[in-house]
Amino acid sequence: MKPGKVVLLVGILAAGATIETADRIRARVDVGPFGWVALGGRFQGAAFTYEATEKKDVPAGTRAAVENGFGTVDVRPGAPGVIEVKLRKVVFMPKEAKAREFADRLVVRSELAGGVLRVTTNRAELEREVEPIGPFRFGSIGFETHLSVRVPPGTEVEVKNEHGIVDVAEVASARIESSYDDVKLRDVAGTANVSVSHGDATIDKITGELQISARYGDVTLADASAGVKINQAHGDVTTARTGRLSLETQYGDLSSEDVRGDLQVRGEHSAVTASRIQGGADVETSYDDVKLTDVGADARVKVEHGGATLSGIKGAATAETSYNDVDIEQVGGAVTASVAHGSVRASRIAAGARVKADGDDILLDGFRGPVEAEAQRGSVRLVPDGPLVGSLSARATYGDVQLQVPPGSRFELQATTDSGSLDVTLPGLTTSESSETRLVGRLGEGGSLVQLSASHGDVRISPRSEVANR
Amino acid sequence: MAARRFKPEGVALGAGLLGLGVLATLANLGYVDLLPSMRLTWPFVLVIWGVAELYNTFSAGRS
Repeated sequence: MKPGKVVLLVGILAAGATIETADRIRARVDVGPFGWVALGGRFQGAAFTYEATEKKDVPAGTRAAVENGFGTVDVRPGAPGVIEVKLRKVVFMPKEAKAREFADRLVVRSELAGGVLRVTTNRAELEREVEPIGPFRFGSIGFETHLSVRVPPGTEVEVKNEHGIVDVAEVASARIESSYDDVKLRDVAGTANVSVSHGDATIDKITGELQISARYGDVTLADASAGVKINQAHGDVTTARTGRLSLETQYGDLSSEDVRGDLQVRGEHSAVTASRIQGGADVETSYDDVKLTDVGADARVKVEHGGATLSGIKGAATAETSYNDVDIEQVGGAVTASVAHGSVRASRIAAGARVKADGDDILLDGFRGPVEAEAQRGSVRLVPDGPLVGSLSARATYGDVQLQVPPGSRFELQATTDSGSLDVTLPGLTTSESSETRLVGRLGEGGSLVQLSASHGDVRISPRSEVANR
Repeated sequence: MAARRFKPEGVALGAGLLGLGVLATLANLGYVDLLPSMRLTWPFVLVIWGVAELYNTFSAGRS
């Protein structure tokens, strides 16, 4: 056999194998309306549109359950006692006569049972039936079914759609499942449950409890007055004016304003920015930063590979981070901060602090109450807000410890250093023991113990005014 | 002038290109789905090639 023939034979067989494989993959992989089915030709080319309307009288309190496969679904309030379904049929066929013949067979199916009117179409039957049509048609006909449903005011609604936007407004309650397109929901008087796999969810004015499950898409939410629970995989979440908010997310950021309750976030690879939280905040995330502003109760933040910024916390503030810094400002309760490979900067602390930093400095500027500060490979600088009367303990292994003492302070002092120097300039200090590495004394009438120690650094104590003038 | 020699692989290649063009045109007109149609019809290229090879063998034996 000639080499040319062998090459041609191998080429034909390879092409055949490729075609077989591609067609099998196409049959198994569902990638949405703009994926393989569109490339296969079902939803392109000439198309004809037809409409049909069906009305059904229903008893008061009947729920509506709408199911669609490929097309939009919108639900709005209509006349009392009647559910009206308008079906818009788009048929992708080259000849109008054939398209009309096909569209005539495409109808609305509605069934009232158990207080629920189930609305759908017979598209599933036609999808099965039309494959194949005739000897030269090996694929199926592409057609879209768009459903506009008018329900009595105050109806509870369920919608399930595969490919197409779901738009529901002004209903008593809503349960929505969407696979490959966006969901819009607004003005729900009761509870709402939204599940969207590949698409964005835009939700507005929900009075009852709200649950959202989203896999690939953003969630935008406003005015959900009751509790909100969101489970998000890949996408950002933006909320405004919600009740209690609970979020679980993997790859997406949270931006939240006006949470009228507690905020709880469990994130991975997520930045969290939240402000005006009436309740407490409990945030855990990784690989990005957290910023909380104006929290009405306690705030707790844990971040791996990210920093935390907390300001305006009415209760206690707890921050645990790694590989980035903690910044805390204006806290009504106690501050607890622990940072691995980062610094802690805190100011305007009303009820004391326990702070630990590994790899960078600690600065507490304007604090009241007892303080414990420990810096590994960093310095500690402490500036009390008023007279220092509470207990204070500050230790640095490879860095300095610096304390600025305001007028009116009174305490028992113990200052030590292993290999640095002691620089204590404090008028009114009565010294009972003094050496190059250790100083014990009393300021004023004495009181709580102030312990300052630096293993490989200096300890400096000075009046606050003096330091301020330097 | 010498007669051009009959090449069965040429027939197969021609038939394959012809079929591919026809199917692609029908697909563009909306009558068929290209990929399922190609999957159904591609082995015909081998059949046509085989027939051409048989014809070539018998006609060479007769001459």
